[in-house]
Amino acid sequence: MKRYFNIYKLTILFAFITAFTFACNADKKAASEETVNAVTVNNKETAGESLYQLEGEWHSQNGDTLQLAELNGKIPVVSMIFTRCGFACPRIVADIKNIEKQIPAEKKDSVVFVLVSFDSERDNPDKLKEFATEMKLDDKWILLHGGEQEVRELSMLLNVKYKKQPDGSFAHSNGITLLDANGAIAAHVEGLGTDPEPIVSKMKEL
Amino acid sequence: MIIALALITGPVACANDPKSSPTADMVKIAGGSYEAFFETTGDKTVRVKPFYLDTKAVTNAEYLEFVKANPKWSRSKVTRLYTDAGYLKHWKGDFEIGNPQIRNSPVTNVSWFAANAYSKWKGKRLPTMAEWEYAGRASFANDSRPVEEVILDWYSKPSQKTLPPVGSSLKNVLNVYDMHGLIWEWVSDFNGIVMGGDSRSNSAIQRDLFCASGSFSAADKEDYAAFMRFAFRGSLEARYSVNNLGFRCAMDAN
Repeated sequence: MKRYFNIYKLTILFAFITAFTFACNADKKAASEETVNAVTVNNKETAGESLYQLEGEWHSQNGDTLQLAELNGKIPVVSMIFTRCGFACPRIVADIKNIEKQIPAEKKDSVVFVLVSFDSERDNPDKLKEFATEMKLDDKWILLHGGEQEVRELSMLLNVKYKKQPDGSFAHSNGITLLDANGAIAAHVEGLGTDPEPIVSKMKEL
Repeated sequence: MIIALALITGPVACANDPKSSPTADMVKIAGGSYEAFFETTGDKTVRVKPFYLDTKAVTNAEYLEFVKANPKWSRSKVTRLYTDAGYLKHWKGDFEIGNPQIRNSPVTNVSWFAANAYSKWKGKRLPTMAEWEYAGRASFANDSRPVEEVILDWYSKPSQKTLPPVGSSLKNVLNVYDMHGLIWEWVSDFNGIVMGGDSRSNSAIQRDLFCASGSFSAADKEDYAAFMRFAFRGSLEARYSVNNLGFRCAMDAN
């Protein structure tokens, strides 16, 4: 009996998570087709899933202290990196720049790019500033340093897996997440060089 | 069977309040090192600094105190961001456990976020995977069987419908109870296993943990029990609640 129960439960969980992470587009599209006042309903729906419920403090490349909730109303494109990363992280930045080129004109003022560092120990605001300059990132880009606890919590929400290696570098999965104006996950793509279409098309709907 | 595997696992870590001191229900675990069960790059030796660990898992009664003090973690108020629909589903109500028999049983059906929040509230943190595995390697105090044998014996049986109280299974030589034989436990960095259906196709450093290839780089090929723990951890998400997954807390020792 127990095993059946587990299968049932996991199926539900996976279905839920899958919907949550990957199928948001389809779900919300379906929902909006059914409702006249789609925007309002959508906002109410996603408020409970807002990442802005995270209470931790972060430091930007400009030395500002902020909470994620201060991004409220923006449309953030979020990823996790570390500046000493030789291979994957520059590619992630390139992938996001590719998204940047495809932002619909009416969303240009709302969209921001947020890179959160895994490296609590070494990626201080100065180091992040250096990285931003090196990668030619303008003021639409917010690079964040946080404590180990904050970084771990955020990674759980973004479904990013990572592990610090003995040499101080990080093994990590690669993902790009789009948040809606409430801070809830609207779209997510996994991997390097992945077609950003799910993010770009969702951005148009937000 | 795969589902059963998926339901198993271990510990997570968090920052703690430097002002708090270890409680009477914790023991100090001397630092040390062990050979990593699974590591593909560089040094396989995992070094663990001295730390304090709860001797027993957090119980339903203890967790109820946390919920009473923090009603936003009650079943009807908790945010779906941090828990799934199964959160505390074995309780009778928001502030009521119900079945008196499970007051001192380990709390389960709690997400990683919930376990993490409880730990912070106590001025503690979740143990890291390395800390949990290190403490879990110790032999048993009153049972001469190898640890792996006892673990596999436990894995082979379904959890009892009503979980027994904490402290009811084996104690190890570190004076820590129930590391194997009662529940699976959250660890702070359970998502440090960089693999899985969603990540093996990209940077996935530890793809070798998959299937048979994993056995070639595992430290101890006999340690099937560890495979199961790592497989379970890799299958979890921080919002999940599982009916035999709970937690205990840790604390820095310096």
